[in-house]
Amino acid sequence: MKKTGWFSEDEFDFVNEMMNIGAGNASAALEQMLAQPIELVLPAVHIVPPKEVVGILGRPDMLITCTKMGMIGDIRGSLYFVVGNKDRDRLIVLAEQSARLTAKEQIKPLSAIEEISNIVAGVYLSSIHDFCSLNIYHTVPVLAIDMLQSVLDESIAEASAEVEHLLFVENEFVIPETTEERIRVCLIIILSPKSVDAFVSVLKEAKIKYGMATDNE
Amino acid sequence: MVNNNKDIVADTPIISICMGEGVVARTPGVIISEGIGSCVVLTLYDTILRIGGMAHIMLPMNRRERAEERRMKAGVIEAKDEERRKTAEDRRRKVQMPRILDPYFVYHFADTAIEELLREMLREGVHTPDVVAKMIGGASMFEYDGDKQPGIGERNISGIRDILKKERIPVIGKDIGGCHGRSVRFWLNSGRVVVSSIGMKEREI
Repeated sequence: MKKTGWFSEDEFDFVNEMMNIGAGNASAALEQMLAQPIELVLPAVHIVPPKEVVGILGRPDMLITCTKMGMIGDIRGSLYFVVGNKDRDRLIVLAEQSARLTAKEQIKPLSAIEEISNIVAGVYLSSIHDFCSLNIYHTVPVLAIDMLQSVLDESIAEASAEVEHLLFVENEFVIPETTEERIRVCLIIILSPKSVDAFVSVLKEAKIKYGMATDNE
Repeated sequence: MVNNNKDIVADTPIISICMGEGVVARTPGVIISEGIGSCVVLTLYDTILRIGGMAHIMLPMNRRERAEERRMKAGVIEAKDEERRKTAEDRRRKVQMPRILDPYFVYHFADTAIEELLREMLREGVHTPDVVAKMIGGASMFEYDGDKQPGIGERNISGIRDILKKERIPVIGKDIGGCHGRSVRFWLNSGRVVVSSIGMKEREI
């Protein structure tokens, strides 16, 4: 059977399904925040060795905005929310429109991005929580804007010394009222070495539990 | 490799290295590496023979290899590792000269990277007292509040500095620390290193 990282093919499908639901919830949350209908393109889930992340995201010198959050609770590790600078600017414009600010009251544009990353990360973690009954929380995001690889290299270096794989979720949204162009946001979940086993075994259990349910349908 | 650097003459060979890789080459040529954050790029240059080496170092100590070695001894990952070595060999054959050395382990860590870089340079006939070093990178990209522990960037820098001191290689230029990413171009004909960052002037070190 084909293996993807920690999981067999079936189990990986389950992870995929879980992340699809996360993406659905994330787009609903964004819809509310941006006050715009949002169409969701199904997410791509990758479980890859740390060094391959940059290759999937784009060129190493691409300009991105990234927020980093810690993950605490039953599972520990860190979360990264990555959005290209062009998409970031479009998200900020939408956030400003939806807040209906007058010229005097400006928000700090990047705080909108922090908020969006907060929401998206929270939604994904809660979908993991719902499926696996794990309590996971995330800490307040910190932000960096720079070249893709330079922002992520610290975490990739740390992760490649400690863990074999990390979880990488690629989301694409379309906001039909503005343009047909896609907004691409990515979420990288790095588990601490101790949490990997816990996460994998809980997921396998959950897969069995829910796998039975879907078979009966 | 697209040449988008105006200051590199059209037919100069360009060698581009990624995170965790290293290379040794003779003049003429330019070695470039993009997107350096907390990693450190170390350049070694023999001022007389004009042979240069560059390593994009990720971590200060080779902990991973030790863990891997342990597991290799236990026979757990032998097959996998053999596979890695094979792809490395394949890649090397494709790229031909100058070859990028084992892309998997050696250049991830300061201690083995410097060892390997020097070994490779000695093979080319370099005389160690002629070698000078430059260091670029070691930034901390995210601001931590209340976290007083030195970040990976700082540990990389101090680790590399210690090893260079032991090898008696002088550090003649550096552009380290801060909280911005960097890209590096290293000219093999002169040992010149140019560092560029987003929204900042280019600096020559």
